[in-house]
Amino acid sequence: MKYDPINKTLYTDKGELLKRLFCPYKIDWDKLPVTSANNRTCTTCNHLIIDTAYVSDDELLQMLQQNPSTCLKIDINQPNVTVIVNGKT
Amino acid sequence: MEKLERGYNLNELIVIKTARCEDSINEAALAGYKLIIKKVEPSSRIRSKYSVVQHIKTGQIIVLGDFRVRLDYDDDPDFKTIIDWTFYYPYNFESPFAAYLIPPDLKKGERVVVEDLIEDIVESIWNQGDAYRLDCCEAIWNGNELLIQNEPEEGPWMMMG
Repeated sequence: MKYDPINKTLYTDKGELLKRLFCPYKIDWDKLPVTSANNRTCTTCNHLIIDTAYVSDDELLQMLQQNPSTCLKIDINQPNVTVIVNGKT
Repeated sequence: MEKLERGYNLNELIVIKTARCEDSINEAALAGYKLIIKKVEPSSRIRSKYSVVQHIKTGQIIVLGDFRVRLDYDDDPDFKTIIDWTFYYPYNFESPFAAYLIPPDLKKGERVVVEDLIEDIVESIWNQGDAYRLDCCEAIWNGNELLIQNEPEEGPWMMMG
Protein backbone atom coordinates (compact mmCIF):
# COMPACT_ATOMS: atom_id res chain seq x y z
CA MET A 1 0.00 0.00 0.00
CA LYS A 2 1.00 3.64 -0.38
CA TYR A 3 0.70 6.38 2.18
CA ASP A 4 0.64 10.13 1.61
CA PRO A 5 1.64 11.64 4.99
CA ILE A 6 0.84 15.21 3.93
CA ASN A 7 -2.79 14.39 3.19
CA LYS A 8 -2.80 11.47 5.65
CA THR A 9 -4.32 9.25 3.01
CA LEU A 10 -3.73 5.55 2.42
CA TYR A 11 -4.04 3.94 -1.02
CA THR A 12 -3.61 0.47 -2.38
CA ASP A 13 -0.56 -0.19 -4.53
CA LYS A 14 -2.90 0.21 -7.53
CA GLY A 15 -3.85 3.70 -6.35
CA GLU A 16 -7.32 2.93 -4.99
CA LEU A 17 -8.31 5.08 -2.02
CA LEU A 18 -8.40 3.10 1.20
CA LYS A 19 -8.89 5.76 3.84
CA ARG A 20 -7.94 9.23 4.97
CA LEU A 21 -6.62 8.77 8.48
CA PHE A 22 -7.84 11.11 11.16
CA CYS A 23 -7.71 10.83 14.92
CA PRO A 24 -7.70 13.79 17.31
CA TYR A 25 -6.57 11.64 20.22
CA LYS A 26 -3.10 10.70 21.27
CA ILE A 27 -3.55 6.96 21.23
CA ASP A 28 -0.73 4.73 22.43
CA TRP A 29 -0.96 1.52 20.40
CA ASP A 30 1.02 -0.44 22.96
CA LYS A 31 -1.52 0.34 25.67
CA LEU A 32 -4.59 -0.71 23.69
CA PRO A 33 -6.30 -4.03 24.47
CA VAL A 34 -5.53 -6.77 21.95
CA THR A 35 -8.68 -7.84 20.09
CA SER A 36 -7.12 -10.50 17.90
CA ALA A 37 -3.67 -11.34 16.62
CA ASN A 38 -3.14 -8.09 14.71
CA ASN A 39 -6.03 -5.91 15.81
CA ARG A 40 -6.76 -3.79 18.83
CA THR A 41 -9.70 -1.84 20.14
CA CYS A 42 -9.53 1.88 20.82
CA THR A 43 -10.21 2.58 24.48
CA THR A 44 -11.41 6.07 23.60
CA CYS A 45 -13.96 5.38 20.88
CA ASN A 46 -14.24 1.57 20.78
CA HIS A 47 -13.36 1.41 17.09
CA LEU A 48 -11.52 -1.65 15.88
CA ILE A 49 -7.97 -0.73 14.81
CA ILE A 50 -6.34 -2.90 12.15
CA ASP A 51 -2.57 -3.19 12.04
CA THR A 52 -1.96 -2.69 8.32
CA ALA A 53 1.42 -4.44 8.50
CA TYR A 54 -0.34 -7.80 8.44
CA VAL A 55 -3.06 -7.38 5.81
CA SER A 56 -3.02 -7.22 2.03
CA ASP A 57 -4.43 -4.35 0.01
CA ASP A 58 -7.41 -6.45 -1.07
CA GLU A 59 -8.18 -7.59 2.48
CA LEU A 60 -8.02 -4.02 3.71
CA LEU A 61 -10.21 -2.73 0.89
CA GLN A 62 -12.81 -5.37 1.72
CA MET A 63 -12.69 -4.61 5.47
CA LEU A 64 -13.16 -0.90 4.87
CA GLN A 65 -16.00 -1.44 2.42
CA GLN A 66 -17.78 -3.57 5.03
CA ASN A 67 -17.07 -1.18 7.88
CA PRO A 68 -15.82 2.28 6.83
CA SER A 69 -15.36 3.40 10.45
CA THR A 70 -12.66 0.79 11.03
CA CYS A 71 -9.47 2.54 12.09
CA LEU A 72 -6.04 1.70 10.78
CA LYS A 73 -2.58 1.71 12.28
CA ILE A 74 0.38 2.39 10.03
CA ASP A 75 4.06 2.56 10.76
CA ILE A 76 5.49 4.13 7.62
CA ASN A 77 8.63 2.06 7.99
CA GLN A 78 6.69 -1.18 7.74
CA PRO A 79 7.73 -3.23 4.68
CA ASN A 80 4.36 -3.20 2.90
CA VAL A 81 4.02 0.62 2.91
CA THR A 82 5.78 3.12 0.71
CA VAL A 83 5.48 6.84 1.10
CA ILE A 84 4.25 8.91 -1.81
CA VAL A 85 4.33 12.62 -2.54
CA ASN A 86 0.95 14.37 -2.83
CA GLY A 87 -0.94 11.31 -3.98
CA LYS A 88 1.61 10.38 -6.64
CA THR A 89 3.95 7.39 -6.58
CA MET B 1 -16.62 20.65 11.11
CA GLU B 2 -17.00 17.55 9.00
CA LYS B 3 -14.13 15.65 10.62
CA LEU B 4 -15.24 16.08 14.19
CA GLU B 5 -18.92 15.59 13.44
CA ARG B 6 -18.12 12.05 12.36
CA GLY B 7 -18.15 11.12 16.04
CA TYR B 8 -14.56 11.70 17.00
CA ASN B 9 -15.17 14.60 19.38
CA LEU B 10 -16.26 12.21 22.08
CA ASN B 11 -15.58 14.55 24.96
CA GLU B 12 -18.05 16.96 23.34
CA LEU B 13 -15.57 19.79 23.60
CA ILE B 14 -16.35 23.08 21.92
CA VAL B 15 -14.80 23.08 18.45
CA ILE B 16 -12.80 26.18 17.60
CA LYS B 17 -13.01 26.92 13.91
CA THR B 18 -10.40 28.71 11.85
CA ALA B 19 -11.14 31.31 9.20
CA ARG B 20 -8.46 31.55 6.53
CA CYS B 21 -9.48 34.56 4.43
CA GLU B 22 -10.54 38.17 4.91
CA ASP B 23 -14.19 37.55 4.02
CA SER B 24 -14.67 34.63 6.39
CA ILE B 25 -12.89 36.47 9.20
CA ASN B 26 -15.15 39.50 8.75
CA GLU B 27 -18.22 37.27 8.62
CA ALA B 28 -17.23 35.77 11.96
CA ALA B 29 -16.59 39.21 13.46
CA LEU B 30 -20.10 40.30 12.48
CA ALA B 31 -21.48 37.07 13.97
CA GLY B 32 -19.98 38.03 17.34
CA TYR B 33 -16.91 35.82 17.51
CA LYS B 34 -13.75 37.06 19.21
CA LEU B 35 -10.91 36.81 16.71
CA ILE B 36 -7.41 35.58 17.42
CA ILE B 37 -5.65 36.67 14.25
CA LYS B 38 -2.26 35.16 13.49
CA LYS B 39 0.29 35.08 10.70
CA VAL B 40 0.53 31.85 8.75
CA GLU B 41 4.25 31.22 9.05
CA PRO B 42 5.89 28.05 7.72
CA SER B 43 8.22 26.43 10.21
CA SER B 44 11.67 25.54 8.92
CA ARG B 45 11.41 22.35 10.98
CA ILE B 46 8.55 21.03 8.85
CA ARG B 47 9.66 19.44 5.64
CA SER B 48 9.12 16.64 3.21
CA LYS B 49 11.37 15.33 0.49
CA TYR B 50 11.11 14.28 -3.11
CA SER B 51 13.25 13.02 -5.92
CA VAL B 52 12.45 12.89 -9.64
CA VAL B 53 13.55 10.05 -11.88
CA GLN B 54 12.97 9.91 -15.63
CA HIS B 55 12.58 7.03 -18.04
CA ILE B 56 15.33 7.47 -20.58
CA LYS B 57 13.20 6.31 -23.55
CA THR B 58 9.70 7.68 -22.88
CA GLY B 59 10.78 10.83 -21.05
CA GLN B 60 8.09 10.27 -18.43
CA ILE B 61 8.98 11.12 -14.87
CA ILE B 62 8.19 9.55 -11.51
CA VAL B 63 8.17 11.58 -8.31
CA LEU B 64 9.40 9.64 -5.30
CA GLY B 65 9.08 10.36 -1.60
CA ASP B 66 10.63 7.32 0.02
CA PHE B 67 14.32 6.36 0.05
CA ARG B 68 13.36 2.69 -0.15
CA VAL B 69 11.61 3.11 -3.50
CA ARG B 70 14.47 5.05 -5.10
CA LEU B 71 16.73 2.06 -4.59
CA ASP B 72 14.68 0.20 -7.23
CA TYR B 73 15.25 2.97 -9.78
CA ASP B 74 18.94 3.36 -8.92
CA ASP B 75 19.39 -0.23 -10.09
CA ASP B 76 17.26 0.20 -13.22
CA PRO B 77 19.26 1.20 -16.32
CA ASP B 78 16.08 2.58 -17.96
CA PHE B 79 15.83 5.38 -15.40
CA LYS B 80 18.06 8.30 -14.53
CA THR B 81 17.81 10.68 -11.60
CA ILE B 82 16.79 14.17 -12.70
CA ILE B 83 16.37 15.77 -9.28
CA ASP B 84 18.16 14.20 -6.34
CA TRP B 85 16.56 14.13 -2.89
CA THR B 86 15.38 17.62 -2.07
CA PHE B 87 13.55 18.79 1.04
CA TYR B 88 10.74 21.33 0.72
CA TYR B 89 7.84 22.79 2.70
CA PRO B 90 4.93 20.57 1.64
CA TYR B 91 1.83 22.49 2.77
CA ASN B 92 -0.02 25.23 0.91
CA PHE B 93 -2.08 27.96 2.52
CA GLU B 94 -3.61 30.59 0.26
CA SER B 95 -3.79 33.35 2.85
CA PRO B 96 -0.73 34.51 4.84
CA PHE B 97 -2.96 35.11 7.87
CA ALA B 98 -5.83 33.32 9.57
CA ALA B 99 -7.98 33.63 12.66
CA TYR B 100 -9.28 31.38 15.37
CA LEU B 101 -12.96 32.09 15.97
CA ILE B 102 -13.60 32.20 19.70
CA PRO B 103 -17.24 31.96 20.77
CA PRO B 104 -18.09 35.00 22.91
CA ASP B 105 -19.28 32.82 25.78
CA LEU B 106 -16.17 30.60 25.95
CA LYS B 107 -15.10 30.36 29.57
CA LYS B 108 -11.54 30.98 30.71
CA GLY B 109 -9.85 27.63 31.37
CA GLU B 110 -12.20 25.70 29.07
CA ARG B 111 -10.74 22.83 27.06
CA VAL B 112 -11.57 22.94 23.35
CA VAL B 113 -10.72 21.21 20.09
CA VAL B 114 -8.90 23.30 17.49
CA GLU B 115 -9.89 21.74 14.18
CA ASP B 116 -7.42 23.57 11.92
CA LEU B 117 -4.25 24.80 13.60
CA ILE B 118 -2.73 28.04 12.30
CA GLU B 119 0.63 27.53 13.99
CA ASP B 120 3.12 25.15 12.44
CA ILE B 121 3.73 22.54 15.12
CA VAL B 122 5.62 19.34 14.39
CA GLU B 123 3.35 16.35 14.86
CA SER B 124 5.81 13.66 13.93
CA ILE B 125 9.28 13.12 12.57
CA TRP B 126 10.06 10.27 10.22
CA ASN B 127 13.50 8.71 10.43
CA GLN B 128 14.02 9.54 6.73
CA GLY B 129 14.17 13.22 7.73
CA ASP B 130 10.61 14.32 6.97
CA ALA B 131 8.66 16.21 9.63
CA TYR B 132 4.91 16.67 9.39
CA ARG B 133 2.65 19.32 10.88
CA LEU B 134 -0.07 18.88 13.44
CA ASP B 135 -3.43 19.85 11.95
CA CYS B 136 -5.88 19.33 14.81
CA CYS B 137 -5.56 19.10 18.58
CA GLU B 138 -7.00 20.09 21.89
CA ALA B 139 -6.25 23.44 23.53
CA ILE B 140 -7.13 25.42 26.64
CA TRP B 141 -8.58 28.93 26.40
CA ASN B 142 -6.85 31.18 28.95
CA GLY B 143 -8.98 34.21 28.19
CA ASN B 144 -6.51 35.65 25.69
CA GLU B 145 -4.92 32.76 23.84
CA LEU B 146 -5.44 29.14 22.98
CA LEU B 147 -2.82 27.08 24.79
CA ILE B 148 -2.14 24.16 22.47
CA GLN B 149 -2.07 20.81 24.25
CA ASN B 150 0.32 18.62 22.31
CA GLU B 151 3.21 16.37 23.15
CA PRO B 152 5.61 16.27 20.20
CA GLU B 153 6.22 12.78 18.94
CA GLU B 154 9.34 11.30 17.46
CA GLY B 155 9.88 7.85 15.93
CA PRO B 156 9.05 5.07 15.59
CA TRP B 157 6.65 6.83 13.28
CA MET B 158 3.11 5.63 13.65
CA MET B 159 -0.26 6.93 12.53
CA MET B 160 -3.73 5.84 13.50
CA GLY B 161 -7.15 6.90 12.37
